[in-house]
Amino acid sequence: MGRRHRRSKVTRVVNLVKKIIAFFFSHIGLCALVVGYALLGAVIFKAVEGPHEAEIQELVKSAREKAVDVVWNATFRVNRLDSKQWKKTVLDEVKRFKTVCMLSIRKGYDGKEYGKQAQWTFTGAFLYSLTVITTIGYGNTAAKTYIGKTLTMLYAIIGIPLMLLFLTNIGDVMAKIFRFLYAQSIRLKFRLILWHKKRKAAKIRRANSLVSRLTRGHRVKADSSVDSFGLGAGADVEDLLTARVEMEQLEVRETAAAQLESMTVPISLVVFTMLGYLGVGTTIFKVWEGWTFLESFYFCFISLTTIGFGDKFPSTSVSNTDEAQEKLVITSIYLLFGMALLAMCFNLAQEEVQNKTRWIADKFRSKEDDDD
Amino acid sequence: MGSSGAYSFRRLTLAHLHDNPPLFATGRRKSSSTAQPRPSITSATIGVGDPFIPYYHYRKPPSRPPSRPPSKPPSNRNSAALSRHNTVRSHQFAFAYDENIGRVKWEEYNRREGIEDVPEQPIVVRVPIWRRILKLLKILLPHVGLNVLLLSYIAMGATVFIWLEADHELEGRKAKVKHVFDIYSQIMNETIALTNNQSDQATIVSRMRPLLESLSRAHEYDDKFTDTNQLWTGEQDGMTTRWTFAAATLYALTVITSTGYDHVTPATDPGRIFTVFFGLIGIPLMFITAADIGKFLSEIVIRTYAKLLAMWKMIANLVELVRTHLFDTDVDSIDSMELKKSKKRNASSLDDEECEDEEDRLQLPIASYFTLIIGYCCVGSLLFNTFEKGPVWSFIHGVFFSFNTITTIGLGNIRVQQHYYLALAVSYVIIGLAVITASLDLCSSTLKRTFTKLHYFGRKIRGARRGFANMSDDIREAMRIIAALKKTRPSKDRITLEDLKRFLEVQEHLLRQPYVPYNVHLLRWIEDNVGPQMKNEFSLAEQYAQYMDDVSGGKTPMSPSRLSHKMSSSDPMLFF
Repeated sequence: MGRRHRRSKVTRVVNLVKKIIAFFFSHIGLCALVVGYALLGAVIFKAVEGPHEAEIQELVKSAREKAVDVVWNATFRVNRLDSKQWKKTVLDEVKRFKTVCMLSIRKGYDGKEYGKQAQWTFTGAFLYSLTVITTIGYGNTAAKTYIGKTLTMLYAIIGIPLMLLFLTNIGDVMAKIFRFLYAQSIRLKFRLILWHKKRKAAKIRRANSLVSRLTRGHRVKADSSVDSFGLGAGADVEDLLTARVEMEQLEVRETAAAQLESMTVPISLVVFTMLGYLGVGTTIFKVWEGWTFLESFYFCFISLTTIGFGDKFPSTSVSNTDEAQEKLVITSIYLLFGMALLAMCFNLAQEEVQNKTRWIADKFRSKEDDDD
Repeated sequence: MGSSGAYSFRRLTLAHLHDNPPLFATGRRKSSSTAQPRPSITSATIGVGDPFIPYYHYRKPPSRPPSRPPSKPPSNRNSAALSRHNTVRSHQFAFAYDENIGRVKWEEYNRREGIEDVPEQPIVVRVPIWRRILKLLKILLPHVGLNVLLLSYIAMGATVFIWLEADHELEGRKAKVKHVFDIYSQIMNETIALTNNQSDQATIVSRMRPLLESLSRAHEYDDKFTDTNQLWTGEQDGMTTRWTFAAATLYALTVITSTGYDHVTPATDPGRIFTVFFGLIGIPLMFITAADIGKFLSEIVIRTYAKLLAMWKMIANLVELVRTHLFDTDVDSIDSMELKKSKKRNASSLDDEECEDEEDRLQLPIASYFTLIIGYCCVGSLLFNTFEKGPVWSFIHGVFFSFNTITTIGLGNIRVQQHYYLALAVSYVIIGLAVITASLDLCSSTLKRTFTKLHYFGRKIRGARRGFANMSDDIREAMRIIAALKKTRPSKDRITLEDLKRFLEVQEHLLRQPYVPYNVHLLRWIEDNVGPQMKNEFSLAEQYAQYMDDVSGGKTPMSPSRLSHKMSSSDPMLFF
């Protein structure tokens, strides 16, 4: 009894572990895993890069104040206001300040005030993590320290395959849904054709019954083997006509089945879906950021194709207000879902292009055979 | 040849089926339009008879001489009889039937092919080398063409970007210089005014500090990645545009590889629109080329690994030969027991080597791909550090930048001045993208397999099968006929071989003699009209005898004597 109880407990534990693992690698678990990984990256990068950013901002601020004071002293102390000497002093100081600015820019300065706006907040670091693992890579936020660069590489090595797995999985699911909807439309089309064929068959059956009734009347009047032979021939003619109509229906059904099996979605539909999604994103960012239509579309296209220049960027997302947090979440969802949708579109378009290429190759081959 | 014959036969059947319905629909309309039963019978029979006549004409081509048709039907009938007597399965029966039809119809085609076979051989013998060269060119042409297409696409994009963006960018910078000069003039005017007015220190501070702050802000972000001679000066003449051909080419490359450096960025609307369309067409082209090169590199790696394995085996054989030679030398020694032990140890060591080889085969690809990526990043780091030489660049930064580039993250910038460096960078990016595509594809497939196992961890994977995929065309044809017959006669329990035979016989009969129903129906109608009028049994028997003679003879027109006899014996109604 003790042994059986132990085995039942062990079996129960093993089954529980199996269920947990299955859930964790299912669709919902995979989404949670990606989001959790991005949050982890946000925490790490904020801890590593935040102090460095504060240091750089302080340096530039002090340099600017120093430059302004030097220029003021030059203006105040020169009594006779020698134009040549004043220009020389001011230009020297401006050059010195520019040198400090250039060095700070290369170390990560971005022109924002210390304490008011900062790149490496939690939300900024989260968006940085997301852009790294999706390979979008906006350049406005980037790791500058030695530890930051190393951590970014390690983070990307683990995160990019995870992201590819996520996109492959979600892309497959969305492609199946898309194909299902397209298959439903094809079935509806062929159902209409079959209805038309059945109506034609009914008409033929009605005509056959009329002819058979007339011939039956004739049979009643005169009975002989010759008449039965002729009548048999007539009956076979009627059956043959009906059978042919039935064969036509079967051929239509086979054609429908073949098309459903091949299931290639046309490229125009795929492109239309992609442009529709870009249009939705364009509308959202136009309302939020006050950009023009072209600027919003440009940003959505650059983001979803993972080019990611960073010249246009939702700037209010990088702050600590609640509204900005909400916008950030929606932007992240838009990017993740959009990349999966784009993967689906490329997948379907690839299948269609492959089929057309094969068709062209077969055509050329048949032409070559004819020439030979 | 049997298959092609069957296919042609089915095409003829399908053509006939397609021709049938509209003619019958016409007949149906005619019959529905009139209300009298007798004209409807006539029009119905005519409608039934008409569609068979064109097929009958189609069946006999005019080019054949008239002496051949009498010889053809006996052979067809004999083959049909043979097929009828065979008690075989339905699909074999259908196959035999189609094969016979194919053989009969395409004898001439066989002869033509036999004639055509002769002149092909000298052509093959004459120019084998030429054909080999053609085949090689055909194999190489798509790959080389794809690469040339990609490079020309990048060059075209670079040219368009220069045309769109260069002037606008230069004007922007000139406007900025003018702005700075305006600030300078304002500062000098304020200084002069303050000196003349002799005001106190507080007033001077409150008025001068904003101007100086705006001046310092104007210098921020100034010429971040320009040449040395393009740094800040007061002159406008020496200023040139940032959109050089090298910069534009690099920009085009980053667009279609989706890397996205921002060393130059389109600021005008036409530039942005062109970027969108350029990316839409260029990104699939880029990834097709990368996949193509990736396959090529994968094949090279696999072949190299196979050659390494072969070399390893050769070395093992050499070592074994050397040991055998040593053992032959040792045969002279007295210790036979030690010799046997050493042989056993040698055998066990060989077995261990085989096990290690198997393990290496399983594990090596993923490890080799990762090693390849890291090595490629190091090579890129050396390349960029050689040409960049800045305060930021170190070995780690180079590796970081290379990794970002080939994974298309794009978190940095480089400045290209030399054409040699430009060519190296472009080729580095393209080959790197191919390497990363191949390795990520392998990792993705491995991860997908692992993911599938984990997803179905507690369950079995059920695979769906298609029942009709493996069936041959003949079986499909037979099943189609069976389904049609079942729908025609639902009262029957099952359809037997005799029903199939009868169906095919009737079909063949109708195809060959389309005029029979027309004649039979007309004759019956005339008899029906004459029949009730006759009251004498003798004359009725005589009429039946005449009908039998007509049918058995198979002659369509009647003799004038019989026609005159009928007219003399009929009622006055017929005359009217």
